[in-house]
Amino acid sequence: MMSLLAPLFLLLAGSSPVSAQNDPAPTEAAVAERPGGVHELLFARPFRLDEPYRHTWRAEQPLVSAGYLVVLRVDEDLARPRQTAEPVLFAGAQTLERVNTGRGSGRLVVVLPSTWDAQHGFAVDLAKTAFWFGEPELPERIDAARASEEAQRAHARGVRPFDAEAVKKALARGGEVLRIRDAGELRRAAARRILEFAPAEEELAQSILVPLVRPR
Amino acid sequence: MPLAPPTRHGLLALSLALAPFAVPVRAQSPPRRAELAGESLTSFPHFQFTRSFLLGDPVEVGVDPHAFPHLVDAEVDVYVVAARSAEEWAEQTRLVDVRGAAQRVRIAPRTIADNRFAVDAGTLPGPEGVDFAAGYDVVLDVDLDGELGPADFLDGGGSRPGFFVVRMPHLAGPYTPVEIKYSGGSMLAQNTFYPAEIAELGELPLVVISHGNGHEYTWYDHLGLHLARHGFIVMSHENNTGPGPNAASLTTLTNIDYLMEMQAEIADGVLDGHIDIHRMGWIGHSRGGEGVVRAYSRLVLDQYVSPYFDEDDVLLISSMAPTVFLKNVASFPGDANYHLLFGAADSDVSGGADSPVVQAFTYYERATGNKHLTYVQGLGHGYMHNGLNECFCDGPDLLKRGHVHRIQRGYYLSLLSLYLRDDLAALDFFERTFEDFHPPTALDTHVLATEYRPAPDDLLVLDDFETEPSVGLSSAGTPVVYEARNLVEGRFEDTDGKFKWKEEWPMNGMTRSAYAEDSQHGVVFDFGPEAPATFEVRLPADERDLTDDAALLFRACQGTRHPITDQVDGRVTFGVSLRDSHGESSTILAGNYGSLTRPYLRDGLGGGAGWANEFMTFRIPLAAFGRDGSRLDLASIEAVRFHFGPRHGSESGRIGLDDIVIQRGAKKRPETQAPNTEVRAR
Repeated sequence: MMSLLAPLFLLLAGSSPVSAQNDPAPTEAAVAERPGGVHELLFARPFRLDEPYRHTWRAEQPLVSAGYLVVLRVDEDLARPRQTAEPVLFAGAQTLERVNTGRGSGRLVVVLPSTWDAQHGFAVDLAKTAFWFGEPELPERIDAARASEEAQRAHARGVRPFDAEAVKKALARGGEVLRIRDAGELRRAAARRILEFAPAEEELAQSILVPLVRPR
Repeated sequence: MPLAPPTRHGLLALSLALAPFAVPVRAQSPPRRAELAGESLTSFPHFQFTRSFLLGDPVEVGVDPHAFPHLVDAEVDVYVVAARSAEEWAEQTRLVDVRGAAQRVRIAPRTIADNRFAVDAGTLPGPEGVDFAAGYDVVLDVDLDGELGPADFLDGGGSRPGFFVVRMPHLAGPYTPVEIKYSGGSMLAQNTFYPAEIAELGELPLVVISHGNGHEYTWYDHLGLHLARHGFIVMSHENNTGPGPNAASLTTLTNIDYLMEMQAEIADGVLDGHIDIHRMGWIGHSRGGEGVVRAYSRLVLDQYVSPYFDEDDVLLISSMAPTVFLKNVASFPGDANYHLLFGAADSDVSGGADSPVVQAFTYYERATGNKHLTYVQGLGHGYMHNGLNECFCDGPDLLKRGHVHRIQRGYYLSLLSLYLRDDLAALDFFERTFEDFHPPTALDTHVLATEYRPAPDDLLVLDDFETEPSVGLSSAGTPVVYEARNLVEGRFEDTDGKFKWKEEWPMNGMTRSAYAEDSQHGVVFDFGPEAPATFEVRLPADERDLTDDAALLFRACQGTRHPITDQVDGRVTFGVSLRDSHGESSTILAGNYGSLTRPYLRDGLGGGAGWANEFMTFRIPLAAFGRDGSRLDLASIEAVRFHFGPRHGSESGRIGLDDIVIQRGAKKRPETQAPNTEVRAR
């Protein structure tokens, strides 16, 4: 937890932001580390589902029918899976669904739920959304009030949204809105991002990509 | 060897099946029943009648001359016969010894110690096919006529054989395992194992494996392959552990429903019609270990309704190193058969005193049905699966992954055979101490502490310390009399977050009550060469006839990091007595059956070395107290007394003691070489 508490504004010279859509290993050594342990937005792809699913990483378990598939570079120690309570990963007022562990890469493929409507598009604006690791807790216990408290604490620690340019690049890398059927297809899409960004977790990705029998 | 029809509580079913013995031998009186097969003990009662022998282990027969006075100085023939049912004995009374010939022995007059006969050196064949054990009956052919008749004594021949030779449960079974992977969508990926011969095998029990956080459902093939070789269907599933055990529990349930719903399509329908959904065992690891308990609770609380199964179909829940996030109102094993596998070297779910979430013993304490605990020194968290290459362990003498998997294979095949197939032979691995009887482990140096408690409807509770807070009063409302230094009765909770010993907190090392709602109590005390200790519990006046009861059970441990424990630096033994209302008593050294483990020498959480207190359950057959002409009157037992000190074992020690109970029902248990009525009348 020390890394959560310590000031991490360590701007390094010569940063080399990600740009190539198919670059499996973007150079990160020169990218700034940030308070909150989420250092870089590598990829973001909006998605819409025909069939919503429950966001179980949240006490209220809202239905998810849209959002972003996101890849983050994070503090690997904070992301390390454990059985006891882990630092909860937030984006704005929302908890994130982690698909992989970041083991060996420090890159997390996550799902950020958002609402969407035809008039306004996606309610979540990534350029106005901060990402951070909060206090250790079970995500299924996080409700709106707790998320709000965490957001305030994060803001006080200096956690801020990624700059607009980084968001633009991540969205560019993600590409157009992914229109898919359901959570199962979303998870398979996430598995492909694991293969791309966190190849050390190929076994996990392949375990998600096993042959489909018939979706339930 | 299935012995009873399927029910939710396998042991209960087995118990009911073991009705009083009556062999309908044609046109004559039946032979008398007597327990005969067993093994020698180092001191009184000199011999224990046992149900099971590991393949390759020697088998003995013991005859207490005081139980058979008319046989003293007589020669009898000992037969070891392939097990026959009562009906088969009625049809065929001719004795056919599987060893080739009977063994003539002379019954000596003094003690059973003089009448212990080696009948096999370990050559008896084990089970064939998928059977867990091969059954044998033992006959004392008193009239030497080669027939089972009214003058003879038979061990077996009823609902169970005289003894079992059990397979090496960690070794491969007869079937060829097939492994498949497939998905039904989000959190519905499954890794399923089954025998290639499934088409010929009818319905098979289903084992469900729910992984832990950061683990993968593909990491349990060491169990899946092993169990499929022994005729189980095993489904390990994607588990939604990230949000927490509550979410994980739902995936356990939805994956079972998915398997049932799609069985006609998965692998071209190879499983279709072969899944016995009414015989399920659930194994969960870490958050998944808590998740399977929560899943069961959801069924009990009607918070989940499956079209295929309900809680009565869950014949076993086993948690491997479970977290304890949830309170017992939401997550409880209830009266399900429950098992906990836990490692003293676990550095994730550490078992430490510093957090309730890691105090996995709590789930064992919450269980109220038949329950078992397997606590392994040197066992880390990560080696219970086969992914990654990290053991998540801390402490000395760490077990290698292969050692852990061998322990898992042996214990899980035994456990699942016991509850999903009603293989009574497997119960010995859980009812007896690890020192006394256990599945083969990789090294003789492995240290395991095991606990066992049968369902309460099978028990007379003398003192479990839960209902009477006064030290001088037992749970049964009877007097407790003791002479012991620093005796304290209290809650098994280590509240200071450390394992370092402090005089002001006597319950150091007790990590049994994670939350306020978890309430487990017992006593602690110490003794030394100049201050031996006794602890006596009186029996209720209307419960003193123990002639039809089976055994005395209790659990005890050493106190971690206590100065005396550190000084002893080894195992601790003691003695146990029964005293009758005539003033007669009979004492057995518990060391015959096992000894209290030295708490695992792991440091951290304060100064010193020694992790959580390691309780062990001892089960001493009541009849053993009456051995060798003891004048003890089991029909009038007044008290159970524990003795600590040089005369009864270790010179000194720091002890925790709990759950002193009488197990009912001698007829369904071994150790019933009942004295004949003449001796009893004395």
